Amino acid sequence: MSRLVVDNLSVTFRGTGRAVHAVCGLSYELQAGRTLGIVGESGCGKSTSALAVLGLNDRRAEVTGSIRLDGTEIVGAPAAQVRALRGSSVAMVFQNPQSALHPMKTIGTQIAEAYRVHHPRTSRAVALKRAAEMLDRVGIAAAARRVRDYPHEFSGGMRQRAMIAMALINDPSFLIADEPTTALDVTVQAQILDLLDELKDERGLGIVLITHDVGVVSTVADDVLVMYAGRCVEFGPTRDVLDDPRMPYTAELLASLPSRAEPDALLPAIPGSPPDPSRLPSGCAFHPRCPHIDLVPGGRCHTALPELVGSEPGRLSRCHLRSLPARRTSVIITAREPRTGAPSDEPVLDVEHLTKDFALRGAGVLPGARKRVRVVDDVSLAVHRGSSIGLVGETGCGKTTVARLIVRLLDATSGTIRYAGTDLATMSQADLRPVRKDLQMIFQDPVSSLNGRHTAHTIIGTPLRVHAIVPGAGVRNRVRELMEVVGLNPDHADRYPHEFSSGQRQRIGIARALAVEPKIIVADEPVSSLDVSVQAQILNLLSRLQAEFGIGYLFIAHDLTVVRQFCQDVSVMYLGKVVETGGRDAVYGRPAHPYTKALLAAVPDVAAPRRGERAVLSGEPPDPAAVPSGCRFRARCPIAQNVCAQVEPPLVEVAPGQRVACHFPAVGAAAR
Amino acid sequence: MTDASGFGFARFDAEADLELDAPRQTVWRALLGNKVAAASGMVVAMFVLTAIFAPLICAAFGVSPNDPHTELVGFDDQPLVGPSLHHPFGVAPATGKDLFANWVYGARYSLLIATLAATAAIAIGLVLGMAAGYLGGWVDRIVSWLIDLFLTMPFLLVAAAVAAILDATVGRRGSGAFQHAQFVALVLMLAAFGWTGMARLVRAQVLSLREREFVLAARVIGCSTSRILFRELLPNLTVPIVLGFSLGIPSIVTAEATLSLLGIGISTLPTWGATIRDAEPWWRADPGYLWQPVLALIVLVLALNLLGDALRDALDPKIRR
Repeated sequence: MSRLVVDNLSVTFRGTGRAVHAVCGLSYELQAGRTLGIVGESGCGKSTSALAVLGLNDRRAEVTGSIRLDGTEIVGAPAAQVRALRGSSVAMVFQNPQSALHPMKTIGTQIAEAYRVHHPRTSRAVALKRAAEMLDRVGIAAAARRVRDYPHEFSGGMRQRAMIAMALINDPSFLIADEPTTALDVTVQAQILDLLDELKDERGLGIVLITHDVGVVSTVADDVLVMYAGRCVEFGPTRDVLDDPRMPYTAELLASLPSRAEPDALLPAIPGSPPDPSRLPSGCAFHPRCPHIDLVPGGRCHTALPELVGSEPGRLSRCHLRSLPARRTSVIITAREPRTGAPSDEPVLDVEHLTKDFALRGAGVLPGARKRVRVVDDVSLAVHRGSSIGLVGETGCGKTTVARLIVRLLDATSGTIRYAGTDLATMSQADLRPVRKDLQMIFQDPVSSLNGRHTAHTIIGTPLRVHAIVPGAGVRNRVRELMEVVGLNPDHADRYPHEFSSGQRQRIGIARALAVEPKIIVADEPVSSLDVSVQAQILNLLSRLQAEFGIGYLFIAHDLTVVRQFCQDVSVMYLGKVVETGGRDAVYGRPAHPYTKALLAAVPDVAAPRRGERAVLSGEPPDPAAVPSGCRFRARCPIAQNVCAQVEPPLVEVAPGQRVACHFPAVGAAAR
Repeated sequence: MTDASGFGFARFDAEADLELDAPRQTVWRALLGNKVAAASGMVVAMFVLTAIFAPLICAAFGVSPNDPHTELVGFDDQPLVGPSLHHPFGVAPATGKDLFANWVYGARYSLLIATLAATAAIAIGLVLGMAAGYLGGWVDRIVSWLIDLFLTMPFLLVAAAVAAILDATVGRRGSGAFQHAQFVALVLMLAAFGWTGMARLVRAQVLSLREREFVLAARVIGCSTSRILFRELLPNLTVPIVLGFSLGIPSIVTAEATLSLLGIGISTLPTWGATIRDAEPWWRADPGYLWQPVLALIVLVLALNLLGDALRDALDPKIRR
């Protein structure tokens, strides 16, 4: 039985500035046939430790400790020796299959190349045949033909399958998967995780699965190792750790997951943000954020690093506390205005039959001959005061386009956007300017959504100046107030975006949207690029602002658990169309559309069942330029009939407030 | 000077990261830590000071660039005096003009013309590039067409034609008006051939910036197009602007010298190119005459280029190690 032993591994970067201790004294042992999940937030050293196993660290990295593969030492071994192990004994799958594949070589050539590196006497043809077999094994249909395809002819999920095929072609005993599903849609993620799990059983593979997503770990890992600030803070069998965490960080992280919280409740967020690896706190690195610091006498958390100790066989944790106190219960916001489902309840923003066509570039010379793609097709939704509607769907389903149409960053092809008695869709940009005050947007990326050349003060003050909301002299004070409202220190107003953490930057973006006192905020994936512990803070802030100012949110997200926690209404989009819409309890509790069901089943939830016990949707969303006839979901639908190919199902009401576009809606059935 | 295609701007590659991620102090530290950059910076600073204080320097030595000293020249036109305290670089054959004064004023005019031309080129390139990149559509098509047009025109031929037209139309050679027109025409010529590279670069940069979320945010707020262009986009174009100056100026210095040497540049001012042209027949009899401006040109252009390269590396965090 093969064993991978990592013993007291440390990785330090010494550049011109201060030394960065990316990994400090990490130890673990992995046997073939098991999966170890390594979880942690950005900068905790999880990827750095994985690269060390393959000897792939940067030249500036100083690697100490020991990594033994069946007794062969990797740390400090000659480059040729490590190279011989790479691929044949330990292989790696990276996060982004797009950049990990060579765009100018066929998939087959690349996989065959990986084989021939370790089998130099094999002919090209034989290697290519092996590549086809391997592709077939990882679930690529018509593999013998598709080995001749180039990476751009593969979809994202297929590329990741190809990467896995390439990693496994030399039959390694260990596979290191660094965020293998982060770039993929949730339904495809479920397929890839299942594939990894199958391959593990079939080949006795030992897998190190690195991820930021506790849900992913819970569905496939046998053991879990939680990292914080370069150190292992907790280790144990996955179920045990998730059900009964011993280290406050693990406990707080799990508690802050939206999937575990009550709908509409404030999330028990961890204050602060993950520490910068170049300036780690003294003592226990988690102490500045820990809620239990008062329980440890003598301020030892500030001064002494707790040992990693085993409380029971197979479990380790790093905390001065022997046992954690019971968790406080979450607080439900009551300040939010309750909304009744009565039809008299006028929406603030009413979007009807919104449609957007894009012309395909380069197709046809004559303007009329250009092929057009309908990316948003007849979408209707309503935003109510003090309430949130979630718009969910996979990449390319058109949800971001809907958001941009509503704030008129794009012009709709047809449809109406009714706000305060006017139709925004047909208004000129000049007439729109005063209305823009009421309709703001929060963006996904906290880095690119702020102009790096302006201070926080200028960024938040711009809308105040543009709309002359406060007199010039009052801008300074108003910006300070706004910063306080979103939980920023007003004394930091003159700092530039790069001096803030990503959570703080997102707060600046929120303050900028808030400056004009909007009635409606369109939030496009506002938390998806944030660390889990920071995500909860931002969601809480958005809830608080809603309760305080009665803002209506259009909340666009791919993460269904976030939407369930945050939104009262949900619309599910598939290829430009809304396939199901309704109240949260209806859509999540009694999903009627097979796509909604599949999406919900695919969410790697902490409480989700493991492989085999859940239905995984096959295939990937088709190209919006080639929408199938009839029902657009039929090609992936488990219950499709002949009629689905001929007639496009209309959106009809199946239960009060719940509307579904399906010929065979599952009415009244409970989820799962 | 065969690179008429936007002069030095072609030298920074399109893939380079033109965004300033690094805080300013880091850029300064990277520059000062680089010995080559520090040395070339000092050389450039000396030339700039010479240029600025040219009248003072000449006055201190009691020389002036245009006064002939025929009494210092023999009957065979050879100068009678060598370099001395009165005439540090000696005097010119035939005319007896002071070479030191000529050299000092050469630095002044070379740098003045280059700075003016580079500023004009960068201003044109910035405005057209930003308009093309942000507005797109027909504006973009027209600007792209203009860029292509200017790139296809042969610089030296056009310069010769312009010089001929000036000769034929604007008054007497040597008159104040002629001198003036010649100067303006030269700066405009150099700018007209220098802006294309800058425009292309800025256009590409703006194309990628306009889809950034902070620009979308500004549009959602309701900022006007000019506010977005000048308040949001312009501050993000510092790197192309800084590089435009540091790499554009040396190539314009060379271009100007080339024109003067060919006799189609400024004919009445003591630029280095003009001195090289005047010295050319005397290169065997009086080699120092030729070498003074040539060496100055080589040293200044080299220092400017090295400084520009160092600046580019310092501004690009990906290259810096």
